[in-house]
Amino acid sequence: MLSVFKRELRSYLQSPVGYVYLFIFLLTTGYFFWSFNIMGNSTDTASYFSYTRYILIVIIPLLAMKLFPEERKNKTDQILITAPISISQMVLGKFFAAYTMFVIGLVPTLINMIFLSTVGYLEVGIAAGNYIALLFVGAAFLAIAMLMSALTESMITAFVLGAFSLALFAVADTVSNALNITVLSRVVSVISVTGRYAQFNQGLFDISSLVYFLSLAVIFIFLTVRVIDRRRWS
Amino acid sequence: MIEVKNIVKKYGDKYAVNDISFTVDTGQIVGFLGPNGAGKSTTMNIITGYLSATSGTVSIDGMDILESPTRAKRLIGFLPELPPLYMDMTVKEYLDFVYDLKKCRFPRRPHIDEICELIKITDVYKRMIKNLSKGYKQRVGFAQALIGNPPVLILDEPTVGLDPRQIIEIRSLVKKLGKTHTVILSTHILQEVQSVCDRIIVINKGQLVADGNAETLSYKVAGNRKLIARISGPKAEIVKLLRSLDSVIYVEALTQKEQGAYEYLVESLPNVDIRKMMFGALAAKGYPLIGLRSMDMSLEDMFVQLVTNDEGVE
Repeated sequence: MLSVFKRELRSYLQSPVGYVYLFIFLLTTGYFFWSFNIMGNSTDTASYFSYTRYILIVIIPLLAMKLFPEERKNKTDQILITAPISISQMVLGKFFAAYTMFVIGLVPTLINMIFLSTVGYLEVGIAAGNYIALLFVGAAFLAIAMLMSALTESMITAFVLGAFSLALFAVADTVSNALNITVLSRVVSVISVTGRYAQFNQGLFDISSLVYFLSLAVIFIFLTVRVIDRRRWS
Repeated sequence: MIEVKNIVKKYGDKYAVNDISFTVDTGQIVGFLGPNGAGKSTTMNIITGYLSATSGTVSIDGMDILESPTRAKRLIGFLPELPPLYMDMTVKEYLDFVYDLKKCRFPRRPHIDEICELIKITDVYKRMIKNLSKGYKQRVGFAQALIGNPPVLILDEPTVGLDPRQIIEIRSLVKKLGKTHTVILSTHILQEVQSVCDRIIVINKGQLVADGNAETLSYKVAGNRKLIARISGPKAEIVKLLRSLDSVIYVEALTQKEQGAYEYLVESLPNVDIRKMMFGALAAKGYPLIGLRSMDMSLEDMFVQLVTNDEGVE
């Protein structure tokens, strides 16, 4: 697992994909910070974090899209699958490499928080809670996007599918609220990533939501393993 | 060492591999021969665990590739048809990665250096794989298969796309490795199996059509023995003389190769060696025999015959 992890991380750092990811992520979060907190003259980070969350819908698939299609295209998956490691080890190695990139992207944004706390009063609890939520949501989103990348042979398709499925999770609330069907919105509010994430923005630290994000990640990693394994039989 | 039992691979209702069984003993070099699309690669991919068979089993040294995959895969070095190289790595980085991936226990540097020496890639060790020539890429792929010194090597068309000098190098390498490894090598080049392999398995349309060494295969397929003799002297009389010999069943004058010398195709009954007799008869008449070669079924003929026979059956 470690060998796959190391190779994958290295390939992020040696190819444009990793830097494009970091550039877009930091540019957009920087822009949000600028417009909501600097120009808005506020230390309230709620808008900043909720917009950052939406950015993940587009940006996480950017990280995940190359995980599998490239290996299949170059036939390098042959060496991974015929190596004496299990498919789950391989998938986990890839997942954690992408996740590490995600965390690397988050680290510089801490400067925004440090800046706010020096020039004004920062709700440290809300900021910390949001970061923890981001770490968990990121894992869940990444696992979902990774499954999409395992399903296709083209990076573009992987990206589009990934962004689309993450968007489904994000807009589920809005749609169900608009439909105004009680049962449906109850169900959606349970499975909704957006709704659960929003709690953190209100200063609620809800362990069950974290467990939910973590379960999503585990389920989708498991599905990815199944998809890869299944392909050997088809 | 390798035991393949009744493997079947179906894609939809098409059979890529249809009930192939064979065993390979330790230390054998086995050539997989077959036209493109015969199922060679699929069979190899199943043996290495890259694909799973629809039914049937594969075991390496008694370990089932599906039931104890990690242990079985540790015994196999696999060079797929397209070497599985990461273009954005240097040869060194790549081999280090493979070393880690295979959880190799030999001391790292000496082990990798030894393989690089053997495969002759030491001089490109620090270069990016994407900048290497096709021959070098193939060799890096080969080096990858050797890491961890697995007792079984599965080589899918190891010489494809190489120039003649590289082909000879790779073949002699395979021969050398064959002394200490069990090797399965696939190819559609016949000289390759002839020069390298102890045993030949012919596959066509997903089925095993022949299994044996070059001699037994030609015996199986061949009917009569054929000789090509180059004899100096008058054509008509020589034909007559040859036809008069015992056991000769067919004689045909071929082209004139030299001034006054023709080539003759002489067919005799199987298992009869007419060469001495022929020489004696010609010498007695004073027709010098200036060349003689056996037209023992070449692998090409054999192969074509096996493959067409098979089509005839269907």
